[in-house]
Amino acid sequence: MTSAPLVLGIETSCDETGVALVRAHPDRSELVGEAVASSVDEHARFGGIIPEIASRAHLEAMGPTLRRALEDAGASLEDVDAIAVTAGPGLVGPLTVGASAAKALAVALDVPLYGVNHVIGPAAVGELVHGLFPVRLMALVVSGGHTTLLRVEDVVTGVTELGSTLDDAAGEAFDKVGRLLGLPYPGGPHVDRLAREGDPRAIRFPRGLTAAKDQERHAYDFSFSGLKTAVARWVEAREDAGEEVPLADVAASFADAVADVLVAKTIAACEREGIDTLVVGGGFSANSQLRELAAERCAAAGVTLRIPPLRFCTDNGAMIAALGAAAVRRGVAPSPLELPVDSSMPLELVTL
Amino acid sequence: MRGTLSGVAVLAIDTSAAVAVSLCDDDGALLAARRVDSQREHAELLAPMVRDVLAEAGLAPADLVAVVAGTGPAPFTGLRAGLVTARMIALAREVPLHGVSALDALAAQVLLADDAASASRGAVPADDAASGGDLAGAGRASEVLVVTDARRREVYAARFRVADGDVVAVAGPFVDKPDVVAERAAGAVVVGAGAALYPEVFPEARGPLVPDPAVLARLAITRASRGADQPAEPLYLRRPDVTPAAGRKRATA
Amino acid sequence: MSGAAVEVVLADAEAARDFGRALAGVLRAGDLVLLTGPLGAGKTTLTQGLGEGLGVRGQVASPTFIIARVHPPLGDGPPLVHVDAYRLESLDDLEALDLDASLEESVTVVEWGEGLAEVLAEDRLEITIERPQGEVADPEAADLGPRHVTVRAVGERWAGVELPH
Repeated sequence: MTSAPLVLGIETSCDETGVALVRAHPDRSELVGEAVASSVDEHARFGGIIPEIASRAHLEAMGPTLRRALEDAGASLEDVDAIAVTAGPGLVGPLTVGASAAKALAVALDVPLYGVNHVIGPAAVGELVHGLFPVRLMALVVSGGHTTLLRVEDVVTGVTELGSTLDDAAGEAFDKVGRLLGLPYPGGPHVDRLAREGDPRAIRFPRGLTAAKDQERHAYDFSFSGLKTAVARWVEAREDAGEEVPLADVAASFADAVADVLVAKTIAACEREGIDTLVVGGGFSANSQLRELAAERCAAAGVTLRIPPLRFCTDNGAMIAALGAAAVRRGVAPSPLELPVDSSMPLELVTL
Repeated sequence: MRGTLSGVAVLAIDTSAAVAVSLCDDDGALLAARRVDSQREHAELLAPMVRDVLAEAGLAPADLVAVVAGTGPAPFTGLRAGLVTARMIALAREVPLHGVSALDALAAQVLLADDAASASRGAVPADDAASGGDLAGAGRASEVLVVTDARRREVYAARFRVADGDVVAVAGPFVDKPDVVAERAAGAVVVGAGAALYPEVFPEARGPLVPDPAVLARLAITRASRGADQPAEPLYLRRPDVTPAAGRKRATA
Repeated sequence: MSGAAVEVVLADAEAARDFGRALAGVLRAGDLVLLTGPLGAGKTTLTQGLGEGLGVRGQVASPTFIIARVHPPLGDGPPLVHVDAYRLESLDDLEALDLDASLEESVTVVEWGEGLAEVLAEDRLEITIERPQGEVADPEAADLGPRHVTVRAVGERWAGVELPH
């Protein structure tokens, strides 16, 4: 008997080069090896992601990262049965490096290629940790670039975007408040750290799109723009008055508002849709207030919460390989070699 | 689809001017070639083109004995797509990978034109865009200044002469304004798409306009046989020309 | 080279979106728009209207995280390139952002581009948005209040072009 298909996953949508190998067993997906190279130090020095720098780093990291992942798995490229790659959304230059690499491997090894959606990845990675998904679940994907609520009936063929942010992503709002408070880039972890020292009830900041009047059109959408403006104006008023800005309290109150909105709207969505399992994924799922509040309120609402371990929160190849494994297990048709990269790939498309 | 005899083929990819792929035997004779004149869509086009040249030659990926990548200089996104494609195929097939500059290829297309023309089985594709114009006499020129488009009103350039049956850069490669580059033109034949873009600066410019990956492959084969190190590293010639903010900007009103 | 300046007061977010839509009516491929204003001024809101007016794909949202986002056209119009230059010190050419689009073929909107993105084009629209300042009694109303918008047309391109007002 032959062993279950081995899927190689490649992720390059932003500044991390991720490669992983996942075995698609009939009843589970098994992570057998992975490696990640990040250009984040370079970016931290530069104060942000510069696409051209990220693209150069991806080109240099691709070979070595692939070799490390194979070593980690104790496998060789000849063992690979299928290749999954992030087709979008993301930065065009970095996506192009990953897609070109994946296609070259698919041609050279004569194996099928699956172009998959980056935003569904953080939801799919849960299958590596918690076992294959139940039939219906809710997924909240929160990161620097995305804040999206997905209803997942099938992680490959049945993903529905219920709502998204209308303006700033949650991580982006953290980055901007970091700017306001004079913190280094990226703002998220700095604001999170500062917030732990402050009083989350010190300042009452607004909760976007939670008012009754917004429920008809935007029950599933998020908005952090008003919150950001409120923080800016509150800080301005203190600065103009020559007062010291209580940074920790501002950070704590702001972070509380973000976590509160995310969790409240997501649990309300679970109740409305009759769904009792929630997956939270994406870079922002590392946020401590979000984790605590989600655990507390899911327990109260009888919703099973699955948050993958921290190492799966940042971009990685495992989530792409997991999604590829899910596609292989279902016998979904592979993508054509002509597959384009799509910087604004719609969420309804899990594979191309 | 594998040939009845075990094939021996060198795959060459160049993305500096067009998206171009060619397959040669290990003597450098052309087996199959594809070219699309596009500055975009490299990620879409390249892998199918590799698949197609292999199919046309009746060969399998396992028949590849080496991969050659054009190292530019060229627009960065396409350059990277070509390099990573070549690197991954070489890695997957466990065959040597060689890098050759597109400027070297263009110089060879002029200075070694007699060789190229005499190579059997139609080495240089008989294609107007590739040969680009009247080369009579250029084959016997002693030095050539190759000029390609670097966008932003600049050009990439290098000056070459023939030594030992190969082209050797005597100046460059560099990136600069056309009129600065033109100061290096004295006594040399000027070729390349970059020269054709600025006829007022390079009135004497002539073809070829587009690097031929088959020539790239031949240079790589020759150089490899002499034990030359040919890294497949990109010739960006420019630093990422955005500079991130050093100080903090005020974000509030 | 400074051309006409138009000043308008936009009552709310909907008015800002409408203004962006109207502005799209005078924009064509190759045009550059610089948006200046503090956090929360409504730069992205105005750009959302502009995207609607141009008829481009995708939700126009803040490009802060990825610095630049390309919105392909749904019809025959130009794509919209939406840039947040806050983290950049210099920006000599869009090529540096490694986009699948060019300045010549696109309408390019640069937020936080004042003082660095002017070199991209001699002709441009410089739009400044001012929002109400200071703390508000009702935090839910922080985003409300009128925006004072100044549109300054720079370069030959805008000679004789009537800007929305």
